[in-house]
Amino acid sequence: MIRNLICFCLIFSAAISFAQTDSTRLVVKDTSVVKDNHTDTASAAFNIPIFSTSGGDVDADLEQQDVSSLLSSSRDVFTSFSFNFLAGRYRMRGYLAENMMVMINGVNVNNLETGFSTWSSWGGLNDVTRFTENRFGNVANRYGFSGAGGYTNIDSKASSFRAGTRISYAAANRVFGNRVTLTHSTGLMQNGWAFTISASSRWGNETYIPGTYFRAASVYAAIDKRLDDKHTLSFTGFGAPIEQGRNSNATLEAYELAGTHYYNSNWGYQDGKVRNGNVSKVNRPMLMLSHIFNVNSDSKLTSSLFYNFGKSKLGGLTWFDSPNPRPDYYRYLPSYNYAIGDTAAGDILKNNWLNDVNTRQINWDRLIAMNRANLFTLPSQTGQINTGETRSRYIVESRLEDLKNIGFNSVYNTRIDNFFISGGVNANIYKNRKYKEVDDLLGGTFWLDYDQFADNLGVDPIYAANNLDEPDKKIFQGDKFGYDYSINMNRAELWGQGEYNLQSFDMYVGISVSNSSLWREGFMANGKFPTTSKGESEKLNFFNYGVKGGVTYKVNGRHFITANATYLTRNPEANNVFLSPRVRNDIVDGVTSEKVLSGDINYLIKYPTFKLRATAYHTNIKDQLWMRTYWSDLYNNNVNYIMTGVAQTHNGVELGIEKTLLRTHVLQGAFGYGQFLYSNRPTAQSWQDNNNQQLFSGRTVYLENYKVGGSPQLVTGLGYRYNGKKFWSAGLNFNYFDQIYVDPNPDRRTAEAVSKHVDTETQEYHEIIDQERLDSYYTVNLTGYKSFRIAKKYFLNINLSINNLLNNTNIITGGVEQLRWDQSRVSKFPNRYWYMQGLTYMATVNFNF
Amino acid sequence: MKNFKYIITALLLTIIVSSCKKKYTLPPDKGPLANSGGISIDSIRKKYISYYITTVPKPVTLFKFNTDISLTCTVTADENSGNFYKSVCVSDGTGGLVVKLLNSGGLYKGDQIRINLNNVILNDYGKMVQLDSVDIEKSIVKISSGNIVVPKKITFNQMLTKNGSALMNYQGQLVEIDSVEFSAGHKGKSFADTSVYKYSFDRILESSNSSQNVIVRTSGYSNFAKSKIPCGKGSMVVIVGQYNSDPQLTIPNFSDVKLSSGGCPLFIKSFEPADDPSLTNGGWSTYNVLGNVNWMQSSYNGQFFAKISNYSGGSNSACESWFISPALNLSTITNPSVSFTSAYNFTGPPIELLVSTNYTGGDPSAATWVLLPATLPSTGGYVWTKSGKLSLNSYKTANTRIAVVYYGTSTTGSTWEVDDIAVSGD
Repeated sequence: MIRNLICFCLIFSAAISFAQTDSTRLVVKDTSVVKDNHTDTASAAFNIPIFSTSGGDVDADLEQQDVSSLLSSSRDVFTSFSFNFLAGRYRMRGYLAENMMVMINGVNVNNLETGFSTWSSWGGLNDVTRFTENRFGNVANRYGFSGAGGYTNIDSKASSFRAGTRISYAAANRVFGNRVTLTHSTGLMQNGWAFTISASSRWGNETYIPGTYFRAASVYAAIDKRLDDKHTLSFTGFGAPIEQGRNSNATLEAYELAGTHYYNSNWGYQDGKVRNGNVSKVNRPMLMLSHIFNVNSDSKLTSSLFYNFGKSKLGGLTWFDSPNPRPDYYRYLPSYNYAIGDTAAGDILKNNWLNDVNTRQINWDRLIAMNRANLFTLPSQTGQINTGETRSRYIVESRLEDLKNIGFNSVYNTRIDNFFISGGVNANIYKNRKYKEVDDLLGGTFWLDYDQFADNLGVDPIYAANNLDEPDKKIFQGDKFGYDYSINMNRAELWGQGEYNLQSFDMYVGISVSNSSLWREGFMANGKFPTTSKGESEKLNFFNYGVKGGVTYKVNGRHFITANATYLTRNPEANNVFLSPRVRNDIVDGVTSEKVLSGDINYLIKYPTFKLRATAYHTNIKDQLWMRTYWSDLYNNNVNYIMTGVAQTHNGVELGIEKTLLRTHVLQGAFGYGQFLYSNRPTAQSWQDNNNQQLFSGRTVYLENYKVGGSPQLVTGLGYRYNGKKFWSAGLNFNYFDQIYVDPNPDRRTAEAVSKHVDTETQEYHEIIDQERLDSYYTVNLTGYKSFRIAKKYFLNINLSINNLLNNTNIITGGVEQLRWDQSRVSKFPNRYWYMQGLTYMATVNFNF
Repeated sequence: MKNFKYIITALLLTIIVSSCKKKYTLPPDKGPLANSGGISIDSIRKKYISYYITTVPKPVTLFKFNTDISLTCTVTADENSGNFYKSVCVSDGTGGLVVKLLNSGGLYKGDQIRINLNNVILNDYGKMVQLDSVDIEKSIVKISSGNIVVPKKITFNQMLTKNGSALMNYQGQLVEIDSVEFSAGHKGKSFADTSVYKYSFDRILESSNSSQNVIVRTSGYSNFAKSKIPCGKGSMVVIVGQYNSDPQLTIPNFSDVKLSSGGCPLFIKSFEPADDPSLTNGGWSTYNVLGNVNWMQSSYNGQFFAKISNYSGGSNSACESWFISPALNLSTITNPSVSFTSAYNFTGPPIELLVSTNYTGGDPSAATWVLLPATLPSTGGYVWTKSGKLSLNSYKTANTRIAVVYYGTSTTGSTWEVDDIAVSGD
């Protein structure tokens, strides 16, 4: 009986986590690469933090399903409710993922370069990543030194799973339509061995947004061998290849012309078939071997070796000497033509947008026809009459990142009376090689690797050569081109933590010191930077440290007051350290570590039927680097825009309440209000991207008190759940989102931007400097759960989760200001937005035997 | 463990479900462009003349081809250097023609192409005959690429000839001309605007065989916009054009400018802010012998020059305003000469170009000045006119100075503009 109960509890908790779950996300950080130099946005499109997303992220939907399992399984009342806020791109306390440490079996798996965690690596493996220990905020951490966002540790060892097999199927209309998962575990057997294997497959075509598709497989294998009472060897390996045709953001005009808030400019018809032009493919397996040494009943030493490797590819159209193929390029929109007074052209475009799918979407057939028509002879081969070979004007390129990260991690935990001491060392050798490949020549014979923005540099054709060693090489499918370099980092850390528990006080202190060296190595000599593009850059060294501490006052066994603080320094994001990382080694002047100071005070109540957490927090992040590349209308060039010394403060309160009435009625409430502000005036400099020419430096950006965009800064949720007696439950949540801002384009907040305006009260002036606040909104979510016991030993569980039950399709969850802007007419490059999906569901059935 | 085999199998199946790769097929080819016979560039040009020039009264609509008639030709100048934008030049042996494109890119020098003229407009831009708004996707097919293009070698004077309809005979053709050099004031300067505004500039080309000068117009977007104009003589490959009555040449590729690098001016006052930031830069000075009217640095359409006018506040004022060079050491220079360009508007006394060998500063009236026979504009309207080369052979001293003097009276006075005051030797 007891065994059955435990078993049921296990399944139940897993099932709850399944209810709104899927764990798939892409974390390829790509801030610098802006392919289409005309339509990039204020945030990089591929930068996906945990706890929902930055404004520029188009994969928010994938992300939501991903993190919700983590959140809902949290024992914290606020955190567990906040998965309901993910659809609104809510980030707890406004933090990006770099502030939260994610571990598997105690090994930190945050990406060394970006600080972000790579959830996609175990996407779909919900069965074997469901045992998480999750603590948010400034907290003690026995696995490593974590910062302001706390930590998550996923226990994925083979012996952590009980013997049995589980088959599950999910149907949904979100990122994917179907998921099949199969997991089998032997449990820890008499002979000391434990095996767990799991595999899953997820797929879907245009499940919600037109032109998107999703295809992913995941495999996982883990083996534990208990050698004796003291020593256990543990292996965990998994991989989750994901292929996804992505969706885009768009301007309000495009949404309106397309007649849907789910307009996706990334797809078009090729020979009658829907083809997505922005396909991402990620496959980054992780292998981990641990030795667990139980020194004695109070001490444990865990040492792990891990290897994380593999490629991520992001596909996109690129072109040379040809019109922009993107359907929503600003000049192809009626508004542009109306604004310049060309009503006739505006009317034609409007009519085409409304009636011709090949205007609204990518016209692949047209691009292919143009490639096929473009017979081409290299100037050096003039005289050889060519009637067959064509040079592609449009291609689909892949931007690749090929990662190799080897790490060692060792943690020692011991208890001495009232002390609990933890400490460890870890080291990483990290190399991420980045380059481009031709994915599809689209009917042409070859591609030439020239930079089309080198025109104004001079007459020497060498400026246009991206690869000096083979400037006129014909590039075929699968060939490398464009750029080729690696970001390298070696890092070592030493940390320690002491916890001391008294009758009415608990306290802890922690410290960490680390050293990193960071450098770039170029493998392609670029014609514009012949001497600085190939070879190794200067090696930058960052010495970082962190200290933290906290105290808990136990008012009584049910009431607690805690106060915590952390101060740490950390590496700037590696790509931002370089002026133009794709093509040269030059380093931004004055690069320094970021500084994070964070503190929180909490009041907690823990009764079996009543739980409460009230928190006030303050976080200050200083000395951040910010870098983007975009097309500048003012300089008629691609520019690298760099801000140094960016600071922001996050102040706020959180309140979470859960009350259980009569054992069956559960009431939940969550309230989060924060002010996430830029808190200083950073200094900007700008460089011409294709030239070693500084356009300006020392420019003051008046960002102070602008809101950090992306996440709602005010959320409120109310929930009710009924727990039926026969293993069923149903719940309804009401969620309110407010204080949502569009992240500011720094260049519009400079004296130079408004230099033409003497009067500061004009509409034009305010159009440039004002920050857009998006409308507040609410959503209603529904969840349901039912479990059946079959033949007294098998369990069948059914879960249903419905988001946006009222099917409100007019909710804008986020937006970005375009970096490209026109001083005389801001509306020429309007903000781009995302809408929340209407009613979406996910239904899961799983069978355990 | 007994079910292990089945589980593994099921696992594999699970993965296989999602491992089929997306494949896309190429659409069928569009097939060849329609063709109902050929036409030569010469015939097209005749059509232009008969429709737009000979027809009386002048037609109010543009000429548009309405049959699938084709022009087969070779691209002689492309957009590669950036000097042509949304246009290329083609030739078929009977003449040359400008083809204005709807979109940039896709045609390169040496491409043999066929243009289906149906729905293509034939018109002109400043008397430059062109096929307008040609859509490469709909109207052009490439037959081959890599053909050798040989410019036609003609003399400077041949190049300037016009037919009875005031169209240049070699209009739109790629030609090679010999024994040419740029005017002294433009030597060593950039071909076009180097600022972010990227204006097009007109530079003056001369030939020793002709008294006529022609404009070489270069786009600020061309890849040689910032290149310095070579100072010497030589040959150039250009596209012949015109802007209304003025001949105007365009350089398709900088590599076809084969001028020697020698013969740069010894001294030049260019007024371009980049290398000549102020009026008095380089030791130049001003002196008002009479009145209070000053020379100023000014600009128009990207060209910088010195400007002066005695008209202010609704009336003229009497003045004699000098603009004097630093002491020039011409003692060792072979055949020194000075040249400049000038333009004016409104009636008034002309400016004078003077030379002195004994001026040391202060009031110029105290020194001896000799008038040089400079050619000045014959009419107003700010038409730039070259002074011609004025020999300084008689003034080969270490203290030679030249000066430009502006005169105004209380009742009259022109606005004068002066640019590119250059002293050269052989």
